[in-house]
Amino acid sequence: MTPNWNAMILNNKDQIATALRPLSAGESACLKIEGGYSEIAIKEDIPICHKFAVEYIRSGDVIHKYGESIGIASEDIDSGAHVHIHNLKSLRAVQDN
Amino acid sequence: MNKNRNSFDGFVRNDGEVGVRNHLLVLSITGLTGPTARRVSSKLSGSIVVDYVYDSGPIGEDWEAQERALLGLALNPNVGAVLLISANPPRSAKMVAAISETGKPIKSFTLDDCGHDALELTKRAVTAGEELLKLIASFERQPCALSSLYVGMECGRSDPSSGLVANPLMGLISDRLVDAGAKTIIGESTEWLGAEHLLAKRAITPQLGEKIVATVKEKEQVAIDAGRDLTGNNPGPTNIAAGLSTIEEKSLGNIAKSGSRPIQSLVGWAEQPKEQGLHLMDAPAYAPESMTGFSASGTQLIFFSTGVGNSFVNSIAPTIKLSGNPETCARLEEQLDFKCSEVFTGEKELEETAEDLMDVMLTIASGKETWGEIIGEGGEAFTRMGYTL
Repeated sequence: MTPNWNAMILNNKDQIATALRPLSAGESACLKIEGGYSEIAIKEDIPICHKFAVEYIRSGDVIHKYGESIGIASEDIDSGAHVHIHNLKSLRAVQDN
Repeated sequence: MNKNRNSFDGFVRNDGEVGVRNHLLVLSITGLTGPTARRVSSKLSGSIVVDYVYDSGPIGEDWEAQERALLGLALNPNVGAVLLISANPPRSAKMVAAISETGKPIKSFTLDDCGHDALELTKRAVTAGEELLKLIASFERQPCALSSLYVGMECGRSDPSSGLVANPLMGLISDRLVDAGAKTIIGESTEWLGAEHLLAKRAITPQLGEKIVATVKEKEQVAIDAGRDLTGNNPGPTNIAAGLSTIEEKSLGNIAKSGSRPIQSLVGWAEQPKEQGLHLMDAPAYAPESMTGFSASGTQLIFFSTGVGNSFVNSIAPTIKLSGNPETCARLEEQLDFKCSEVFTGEKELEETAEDLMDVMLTIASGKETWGEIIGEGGEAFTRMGYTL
């Protein structure tokens, strides 16, 4: 039987997933990945459509979504932690956000 | 319903192009005759009207684009016949010659031919329009290969669900169409900013890749010259609150609708791409202008994803509205032609949903009306690039 997933990644190269409903710290998210499913422990509250790390990300690592770069990590990020403008910086923007 | 996923029932035109509709297009190419054209169309059941509000005031590149767009709309294979109306006999004559060359039925009337009497023009045009409607009613659908399709991919009033569900879904459809030998296109060049290097990587030649990057750079510079930094406040506060972090991420969500196949060419607004496969159009992000660019370049169908809802459709290419936002799908029960929120709620795979969307596309290509067609929501918007003399 197909489980109902509540987060998804669009490419297995991605280190981040998107929450499809609000996720709470301490819960285990059911993650839709390419060709299957995965469980992951959520460390911080994640609002709907916001991103969280699905693996440990080092400061300076390029972060992928859709299998492509969406910027670099500006600090170390734990698996299950919120990934947003406080720890993800654009490599393209003229003035950094 | 034609259950074969490799074909649909279309209208084969005299020049070999295939239409998914059989419109009588009442086309006014001068602003003076717009009201007359609308009056004429209102008396011709099932006709569609496009009234261009300018005349020959645009100049240079702008003028070329306007002429290209008007001719392109008339030549769109969804148009079975053209009833041309204007207040400019030389422009009409030029257009009649170009359209007749393809074997498409056309009748033309100018205010000048009718003693500058708009009522006389109405009378004559309605009679001629009735004859054209009778003629195109005799055209019949026949099985056509998927490879005869040319489909536009548009998005508007997007939200985070667009980049996660509806746009990747359109990408899968684009890939399937390209693999079947069809043609697809995405536009909105300012929205490629931050992902232009990825589009460039998919270009079939390094020269094309450089052209894609240069085009985005040029748009960025135009905005900077006008005092706007397209990357500085983009994503905006609303985008950020909704979960988008960087310009790269926002643009990737937008270009997800292009799928993954190689890019064959970059054309200008309303310019027709030649080869089969996936193409880019350098055109405004505003959906009405973008979609007129598509249908003037020959698209028979347009997919249009939305996050919160966007009612606008093209008048010539049936526009398939889809959304992956569960709340929007519930709220816009009628307006959406395809609902894909089950991907968002974790109940249905993207690939499986793409199969359903292909089926919906083929039934619409074979004649089933979209919401926009049923309600008569269609319109055209012309992109202007310079001064009017």
